[in-house]
Amino acid sequence: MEEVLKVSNLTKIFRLSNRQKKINKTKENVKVAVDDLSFSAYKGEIYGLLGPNGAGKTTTLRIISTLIKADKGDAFVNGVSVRNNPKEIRKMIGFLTSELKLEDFFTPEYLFDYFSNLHGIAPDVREERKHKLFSKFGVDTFKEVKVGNLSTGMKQKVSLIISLVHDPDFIIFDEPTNGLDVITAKTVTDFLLDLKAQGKTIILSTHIFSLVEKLCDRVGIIFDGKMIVSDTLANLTAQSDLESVFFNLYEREGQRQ
Amino acid sequence: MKNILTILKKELRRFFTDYRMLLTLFLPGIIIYLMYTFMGDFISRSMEVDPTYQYAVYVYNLPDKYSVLLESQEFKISTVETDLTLDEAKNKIENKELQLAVIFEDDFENKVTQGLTPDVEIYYNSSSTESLYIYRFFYSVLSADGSEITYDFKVNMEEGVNYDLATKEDTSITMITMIAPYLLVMFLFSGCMALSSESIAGEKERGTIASLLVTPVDRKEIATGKVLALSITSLASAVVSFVGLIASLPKLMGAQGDLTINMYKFDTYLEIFVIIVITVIVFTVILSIISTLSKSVKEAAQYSSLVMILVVLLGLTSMTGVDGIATDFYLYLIPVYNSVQILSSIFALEMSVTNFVVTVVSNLIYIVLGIFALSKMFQSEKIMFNK
Ligand SMILES: Nc1ncnc2c1ncn2[C@@H]1O[C@H](COP(=O)(O)OP(=O)(O)OP(=O)(O)O)[C@@H](O)[C@H]1O
Ligand SMILES: [Mg+2]
Repeated sequence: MEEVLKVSNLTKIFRLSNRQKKINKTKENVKVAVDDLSFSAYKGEIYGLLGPNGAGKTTTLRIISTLIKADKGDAFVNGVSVRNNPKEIRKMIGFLTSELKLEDFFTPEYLFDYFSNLHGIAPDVREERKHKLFSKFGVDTFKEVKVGNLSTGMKQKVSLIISLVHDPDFIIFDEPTNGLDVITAKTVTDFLLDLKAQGKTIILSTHIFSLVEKLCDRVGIIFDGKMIVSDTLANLTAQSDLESVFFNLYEREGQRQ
Repeated sequence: MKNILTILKKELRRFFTDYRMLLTLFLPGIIIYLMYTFMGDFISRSMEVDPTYQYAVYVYNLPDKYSVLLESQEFKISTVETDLTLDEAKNKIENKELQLAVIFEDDFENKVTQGLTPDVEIYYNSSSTESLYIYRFFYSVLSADGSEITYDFKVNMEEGVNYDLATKEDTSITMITMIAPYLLVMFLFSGCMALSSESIAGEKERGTIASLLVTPVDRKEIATGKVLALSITSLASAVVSFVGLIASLPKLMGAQGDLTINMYKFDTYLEIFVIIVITVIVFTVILSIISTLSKSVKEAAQYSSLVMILVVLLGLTSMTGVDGIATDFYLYLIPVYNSVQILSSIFALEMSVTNFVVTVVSNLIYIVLGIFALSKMFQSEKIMFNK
């Protein structure tokens, strides 16, 4: 098994502004969003980060995709350090999260070309990729419509496509089906299996059990910034279904505190 | 009544506990005070006439009674007499070689005693501070005397005579030097401001900048690309402002006597253009940094308007006119101020090449440093994701 992602002892502490303290109803000056987190993902597999709201899933994925820096620990993609070589990492990964917005003023077609150029992709390769992805997601019909005029689902499809302009081998999806109707969600999940079949490695975050059961080879369960278990889906669900496993762990953690 | 008080208390609490709002409310006053204290002294110094200045005055038929004027404690006057004709004297005044010509009518004293109210003519050049200064002195003394009933004469009362020998060009230069740099700098800044505060802070607010940050593009390239795009757009608006300004200046000041811009040659316009370009980029860099540091478009606009006050005050230094233009080269190291001063000197046709080079080179350095700082900010998650 080839280790594509290795996360070791990742810790992220946010300093809270006065406003954030009010919003979070806390007097603490800091928030430990990710707490000494370690796990690995392997080539050709889909790894699912499962956890409740505020568990630290997005924060972990943002660190791996170099948007923010860890306070302790490091993550490695194909042996390249996120901390020391972020530019190299950005070339290797595709990242999709609701935080990354597309400019309303431009069309999907224009944005695809724009981001392709920023990744230094040759025009013929770009056109071929664009054609393939646009027809797969049915973006062709609205590729000349400004993003600002698209529906949530359409925007999500465009964002997903844009995150893959450079055909990365390692893909990070933060809640990929969030806000999508069942039909669009199915298009996305089918596509993820498709990517997996192509030998790509995927890490996704979600709080939907069925999504994990359907897609993932390996699961990590996070509570309050800590990794509680990280194992194959088969091992985890040998005794009972994922939901029961999750709640058992949740209760156990609650008692420990 | 009770409700009014409750609302009043809440509103005041809102205003007085928000440090940013307090800043926008009170900082302008503080800045204005500091700037004027600092600049007031500086401006009044540049408006003063050098007390050791040697005035050259042409006198004709000066009655003995008035020879005391030439020995005034206040002015060091040397008289130019005799061999010059009046026309030659006027010419010299126009060329600022001579400050004043005072001509008493032939047989002046006799005519006064006979009650014939003879004429006194005083020629001067209003585009020279010294000439204007000594003219005011002579005029006030003589016109006060001349209005006495027993000793009656007329000062500069001849119909159709132009006593001010400033040329059309000189008058125009005086006016344009005072007003154009100020207006230009204002136009440039407000053009840049509208764009810049929206650009980066807006992208942060809407979350589109993060999409750019996950691409392998170098942060320096992002910063440079942004600044260039903003500069070019601002420049386009600046050029329109500039053309409008140049076209409207003569009309705008029509009432002040007829103005002309014929004295400006291609070189002048080229120099002005170079300064405009560099100033626009300096403004864009400053405003981009503000925009990057701000959490929202609104905040960026607030901070930018504070900077605008500073720019206005620096722009106002052009109001000291031709004689107030800074000469020391190190003053041209101060951004914005150097643009205003060098523009004044270009409009006055008295530009120093050294100061021009100092202005351009120092601003180029500030631009490079600013872009470098911007790219550092683009790397900081605290700045890019501050909420
Ligand atoms: N920029 C920030 N500043 C301060 N605290 C933050 C910041 N970003 C996240 N947090 C806090 O860190 C914790 C983890 O947040 P994160 O977004 O990673 O959770 P998540 O698992 O993705 O949750 P969700 O399922 O709601 O998306 C939360 O308590 C959140 O409030
Ligand atoms: Mg999240």
